[in-house]
Parts: sequence; C-alpha cells; structure tokens
Amino acid sequence: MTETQIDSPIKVGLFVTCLADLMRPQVAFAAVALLERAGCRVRVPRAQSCCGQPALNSGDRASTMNIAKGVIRAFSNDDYVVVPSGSCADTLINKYPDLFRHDVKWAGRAQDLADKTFELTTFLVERLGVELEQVSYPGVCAYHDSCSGLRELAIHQQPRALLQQVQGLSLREVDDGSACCGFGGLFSVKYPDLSGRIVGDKCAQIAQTEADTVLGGDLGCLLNIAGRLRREGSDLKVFHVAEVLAGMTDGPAIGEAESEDKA
Amino acid sequence: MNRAREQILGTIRKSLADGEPRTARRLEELRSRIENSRPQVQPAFDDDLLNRFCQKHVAVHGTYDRISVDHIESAVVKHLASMGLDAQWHLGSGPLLDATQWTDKVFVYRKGADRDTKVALSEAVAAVAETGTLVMCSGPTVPPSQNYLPDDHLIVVDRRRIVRHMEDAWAILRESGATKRRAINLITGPSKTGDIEQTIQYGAHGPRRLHLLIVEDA
Amino acid sequence: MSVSTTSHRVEFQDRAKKALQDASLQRALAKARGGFVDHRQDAIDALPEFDAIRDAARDIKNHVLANLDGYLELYEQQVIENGGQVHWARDAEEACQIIAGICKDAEAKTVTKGKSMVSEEMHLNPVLEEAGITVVETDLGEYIVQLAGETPSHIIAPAVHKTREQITDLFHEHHSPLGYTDRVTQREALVNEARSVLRERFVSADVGITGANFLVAETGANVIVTNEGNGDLTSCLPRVHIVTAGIEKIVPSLDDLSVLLRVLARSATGQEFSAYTSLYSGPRRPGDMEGPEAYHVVLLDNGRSRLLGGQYQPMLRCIRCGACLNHCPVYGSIGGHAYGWVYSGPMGSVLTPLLNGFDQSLDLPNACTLNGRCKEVCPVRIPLSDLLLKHRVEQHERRLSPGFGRFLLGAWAWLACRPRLYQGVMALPLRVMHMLGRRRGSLTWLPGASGWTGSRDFPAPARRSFMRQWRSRKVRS
Repeated sequence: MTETQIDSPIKVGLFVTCLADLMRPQVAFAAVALLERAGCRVRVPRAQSCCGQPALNSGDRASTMNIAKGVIRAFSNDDYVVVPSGSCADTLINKYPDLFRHDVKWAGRAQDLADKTFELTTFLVERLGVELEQVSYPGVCAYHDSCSGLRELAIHQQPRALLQQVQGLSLREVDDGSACCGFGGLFSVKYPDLSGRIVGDKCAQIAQTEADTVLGGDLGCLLNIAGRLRREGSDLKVFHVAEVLAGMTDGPAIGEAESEDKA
Repeated sequence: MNRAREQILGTIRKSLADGEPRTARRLEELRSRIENSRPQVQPAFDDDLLNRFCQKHVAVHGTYDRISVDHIESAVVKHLASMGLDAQWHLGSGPLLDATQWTDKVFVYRKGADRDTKVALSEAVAAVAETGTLVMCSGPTVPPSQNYLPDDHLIVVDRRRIVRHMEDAWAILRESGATKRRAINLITGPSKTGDIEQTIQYGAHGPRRLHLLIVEDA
Repeated sequence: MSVSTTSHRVEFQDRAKKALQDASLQRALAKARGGFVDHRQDAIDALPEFDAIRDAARDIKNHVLANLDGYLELYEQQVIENGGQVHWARDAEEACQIIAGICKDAEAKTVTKGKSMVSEEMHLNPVLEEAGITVVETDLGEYIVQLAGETPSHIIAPAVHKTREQITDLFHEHHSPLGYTDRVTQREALVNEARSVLRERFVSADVGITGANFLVAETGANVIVTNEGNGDLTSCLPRVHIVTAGIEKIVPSLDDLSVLLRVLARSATGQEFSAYTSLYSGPRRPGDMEGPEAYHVVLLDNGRSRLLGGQYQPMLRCIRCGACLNHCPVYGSIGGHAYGWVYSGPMGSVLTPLLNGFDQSLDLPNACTLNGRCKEVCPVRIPLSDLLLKHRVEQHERRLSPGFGRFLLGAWAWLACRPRLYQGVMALPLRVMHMLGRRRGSLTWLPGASGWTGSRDFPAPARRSFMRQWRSRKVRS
C-alpha cells in the first residue's frame, strides 16, 4: 500500500449499496479495509439504504428523487464517495444529475455528488494508484464485467490491474464477456424465465474457461451467477473482487454453505 | 392523396415546433447543402489503388485477370473456356467494350439478360478501391438485368477508373450526368445469401461468379 | 391500424415461455448467436474511423429529422423530375390502399417483393392477396417465412429462427407440385432450388415492390442493399416498380449516403459492404431497352411524424441494421416472434409501443435488463436502453404498470427514504432467510420470488446486515 497519504488522510464516505448491506456485508468490510490500507479515513453514514435503482428502472422518477436526496445529503461532507458496485456508482454519477437536470435547487448538489463519486476499483487504481502487497488467492479466476460499470463507467482494466497484483491468481477471459448475465434488477423477478435462461448461457460460457472462481464488481450479477451455479451443482466459487483484493476469502463464497469445521 | 401529403407535412412542422411551412429560402438552404455536399469521414488507406481494389475484390469471392486492351476478347474466351462455357455472351457497353472489334469466333447478344442467360460481359463506370466495388450505370445500351441474371458475370474495368473512395465514384457520376440514369448498381462480389443457418452460399439469385478483366493499358 | 397480434403482458410472457421451450427455435438461435456479434466486431476492429463515422451518421440523421419536411419536398421534386410518382400515406391502411390501387391499375396478377419491413408494418400481403394478386417474397429468408405462413423474426435475417430441417420440409412440401420432387437437404441444393423456383417468378411478375434503405434527396433515388440480388431483380424486371418507405428514410446527398452505407453492412452482418447496393430513380429513361414503365414511391407516416421533436425522436434515426437484436440477450433467448409485431429486439421494444399504442405493448420496454449493449453497438447512436427507460417512466406516470407492483415499489421506496427504519425492518426477514439458507448456503425457494428460484438458487443473505455489524463494531471500538 502507498503510505503517502498518511499525513492528510482522504476522507471517504462509503456507499455500502443495499445488496452488500443485506446480502454480503463482507464486501463492504473488504472495501473499508482496502480504503483504510490505502490511507483513507472511511466514514459510513448511517442515513443510507439504497441508491434507488429499483424505483428508477421501474420508471418511478419521483421516488428515486426522494431516495437520491437522502443520499446526496448523507454524503455532502465527504471528499469522496466510494461504491463497491459499478451499477450503483453509475446511478450516483450519471443518473442523479440527469434526474435533477431541471431542479434549480438540487441540480448542483447532485452534480457535486456525481463529481466525487467513484466505483471502488476505479478509485483504487485511478485516484490512489494503490499497490497491493501480500495478498494471495490461489485460483484461476474468470472476471465478469457488469454491464453498467463496463458501458457507463468504462470499468474494465481497473479490476484486472488490481487482480494482477494478487499472488497465485490467474485470470481468464470469458467468451463474449461483455454480454449481460441476465440479472437486470427487478427484471430477474419479473421475467424469471428469460433471466434464468440468460444466466444459464453466461454460466456455460464461464464454465468453458475452466476457471475455479468467478469474480465481479457487482453483487447483483454475482448473486445471479452464484445462484445459477449452485442450482447446477457447480463447485465454482463466486466472490466480489473486493473480497479477493482484501484477502477475505477464507469464509464461504457467495451462495456457498459454511464448511463444518469453520462453523 | 394531397390531403395526406399536407397533413403529414403539417404534423412534421408542428412536431418540429415552428409549425411554419418551409419558406422558399429555407428550401434553398437545404438545396444548397446538397449541392455543396462534400465527402465526410472516410476510411484512410495508403495502399496502391489497383492492389487494394484487387485485394478487396478477392476478399468478397471475386476473381480477376489483369490484361492488355488488345486482349479483351481473348481473355473473355479463355476465361469461359476454363469454365467449360461457349464463347457467347450478353454484351453491355462502355468505352472499352464499344471500341473492341469482336471476331467471328464469338457471339454477342446486345440485349437485356433473360432467365436462361449464362454469361454477361459489362464494363464498369468506376471501381472503388475502398471496398472492391464496381459501379455500373444503366443506359440505352446498358441493361441492368445483365448484372443480375447471368450465372457468370464478367466486368471489364479500366484501371484508370479505379478510385479511392465511394465519394470519388459519385463525383465521376455527377460530372457525366450519370446520376440521372434510372439505375446505379454498386456490385461487390457475387450474389450470396446467409439465410439458411447463417452460412454463406453463393449464387442466391444473381451471378454465382464474378470475374473482372482489369485493363492496364487503355 | 390492423395488428397481427396484440401484446398484453400475459401474451408476451406466454410467447416468451413458448419460445424458450421450442427446441428447434432454440437450436436455430444458438446457431445464429455469436456469428453476427463476432463478424461485426471483426469488421469494426478493421476500421479505426468507425466511431467518427458513427458520429457523422448520427449527425446526418439528426439534420434530416430537423428538416424533414423540407427534405421530403426536395426528394419529391426529384422523383417527379425523374418521371416517378410520390404517394403519401398517413397510416398503414392508406398505404395498402394506394399500393393495391396501383397494382389494380396495372392489372397485376403477380407481384414480386424485395424484403421490406415497412410493408410488413403495413400488413400489405394479405391486402394484395385479397385483391386476387399472387404475392411472392423473394428474399430467401422472407420466402421461407412466407412458405411457412409466418412473419419475419429478424429484420435482416427473417428466417433466422428456422433450422435447415424445417426449410427442407417446407421446400419439399411447396416445390414438389412445381416438379421439384427430390427432397434436398444440403444448403447449396436448397439455395439452388429456391433460385430456380424464384427465377420464374422474377421474370413473370407484373409489379415489383421493394423497400428502401435510404431515399436520396439529391437524385430522387431509392437505395436498396442486399446480398442476394433479389431486390434488383424485383426493381428491374417488372412493368411497374413500387417503393415503400417510412418518411424518415431520407438522406440529403450521395456523400451522406456513403457515410451511412459504411456503418450499415458492418453493423448488420459484419460485411464491409453488401454485395449489391443499388440506386433506382424513376421509370426507364427514353431509349432504355428495359426497366419499369412506371415508378411509384409510397411514403408511410404511420405515427412517425408525431415522434419528431419529442423524447423519442432519436428512434427515427434507426437504419434497421439489426445490430441491437444481435446483441440483445433477450432477443437471443426468444427470437423475434415473441415480440408480437414486425419489429423485435431493442429497436422493436422502443418502436412498437410508439407506433402501435403504449397500452398494446406494456411488456416490451420492461422485458430488458438495461444492459446497454444495444446502445453501445447502434451505428447511429440511438440510446436504445435510455429510450426503453423513458417508456417505463411514461408507463409509470400514466399508471399503465400493474397496480400491485406499483404499491410494493412505493412501499419499498418510502422505506428506503427512511434508512433507520429501513435497517430495522429489514433485520427480521434477513434473519429468517439466513436461517433457511444457512445449511446449503442458498435458498432453493423464496416466497414472493419463486420465479427467481425456478431456475436458480437465491444465495443466502448474511445473518446481520452490514450497517448493524458496522455500528456494533464502532460501538465496541
């Protein structure tokens, strides 16, 4: 880790994301660890729940704006806001300013938030230029690029650059890797047959890489992929990239049972 | 019918917010944009035009011979013989073809192709190195059916008429007034289809084979 | 307007489910998938200027749309100058009447057609057939689909949903009476048989109807792009040539046309250039030895003019390349027919509600993961996924979305705005789900989301949320 920022710690607010909060707290702990090791002072405002995507993607702008105002307020004093999800970061960075485009009072504040918000791996690579040390993960990993992160925030090289520093880890690219995994938030519940079919295809392509682990930067996709792999009886492990980077892979992977000896 | 016209144009004007009929001056502006039209972004390449053209033509399953202007007939006869075909064909028109004295060893039909036409011999108005495309124009002695009905289509190309980009071909057509012809046909390789299992098959409805005779010394 | 199938929520879901279970459809889709994507990528990798050309293509289309009335007038003048006629149709029915009228005046018995999505949009074939006219689709894919009594399932590959076995059966059934009694199964033989059957149709047709990829205001030409040459035989051989086109198809000049042609084939099939790109203007000229005696253009509005100036105007830039279909995971799973109308995939999901009525196609904008790949590949940079989201907003604001879903969403959003309460309320279900899934690490059944667990597990959540754990950690330290 770089030590240069110790003198004047960067104040970072962590936007946990609702999925990390409820489904996989370890992702948020990993994000905190990574940021703290990089010399940041991490704050987790209590006044946060979700970025509002379920409402936004259902066409409910009014509800989304209400949620967004809470997020904007909660992080108004942080230098940076870091999000361990490309899709939620995209909401804060691109969707909030668009929502408040015509709102004199909030447009500026939404833009301020957008300007200081970063997806986790992007922040680590592009803002902090971190160098990991003494992290290892003995595995062959397939990286799944999530759609919002990839297309709206150009997240592609950042996680790979970090993973290259992990000892024992080798990366495999998935064929047609930029294809969606079929999650799509509420889509996966409203159109489960379609969603299930698409994630089936994705898992087949992941299996072709002969990797033993699937990594990604968005829990939505990872829950979807892990759920499908579990159903198929596959023993592929699924982790959020932050967990691997922070060395927090001793416990069960996403969707995996706690092993008896550890429990 | 006129009511439909007025209504559609009216809705367009209303939707575009000004609601006003276009004044003569506005139409003049659009017309002038057309008249002063210039090439925009074009793919850059430095290759020699002839080489590039041939390479692109081969890439779309075409074949060619580079020949001298005195050997048009013999080149055609030789190519047809190699395919086991007789020395007869439907003949188009163009400066090189018109200047060729056909011997009595061959038989040419100066008419449109029909359902059973085996071979047609045409001349390209221009050829585009960018994509390996041949530019054909219809006219009193150039029936476009010759481009589409024969099994084998042979096209004579004057090397000097190979241009870099598509827009250069438009310039040639504009200059000669050929943009006013009924048909301008751009041909890039033989006919093909991918409609059965997305696998390419040649000779869907048009020519199964496309062979060029590139005249180097006209 | 007449619509072949209305699309209610249930109908789309049913069709999608059927499509997912249709083994031969799935075989055909699996065969097609990847090919289009890889070919396009190769073509684009070979053209460093692709993005700049896309920008230019978008700008040309925007310029035309902003001046559409003027360009339509200029185009019309050129067509008339060339000796052709322009007809204006406000809707599908009017267009069909105009075309049927032209065919009747020409005493047409047989009509050949080049592939025209606009004529599918008009539902033209049944109208002509009712008038006693034999209509023959000549694009091989459209021909296959016509023999099957179906509609195209893809705008550039109409028979993409058909396997070779199905095509073999269709040809055997329909060509046997014409003397082709051998059952052919190989691709080459199938193509040759169709070539031979359709050749007779081409030379005997009275009227040829084609679509138009573009209409060039500079020369009054309609442009058709094909690989087979069927559009050209349809344009050149019959006595009468009718062109059908949406009013948005105009490009100002030949130079503008070049820009659009450079993105069209690459986006559609990954070709640099299609085999045949033809510009036809007016009837045969004096002295020409062949060509149609009459040339008609039928310009179809059908709701397009209303879209100008509004939030959906970018959709009118569409050049119907099919790239968004080829890159859409939903299209790739169910094919085109499930969408219920002529246009499918992302462009169809945006366009169908606009042209056909919002309440007729509520599912389409929602049956999308918003992955944005369609927007990424669009050659004229239509923000397709953003437009789908605009549809959702409109559905929500017009209260067209299902009431129970709206209630749940509203309740959740209310809670999400009150983080402390939210954190408290979420604790119990979290704990229950954690308990249920602990042993396996995931749940195989989830109340309220049994759809999800129909095809995959639901990974078990943590026992306590991050926010709770974080707080106790802070308290401890």
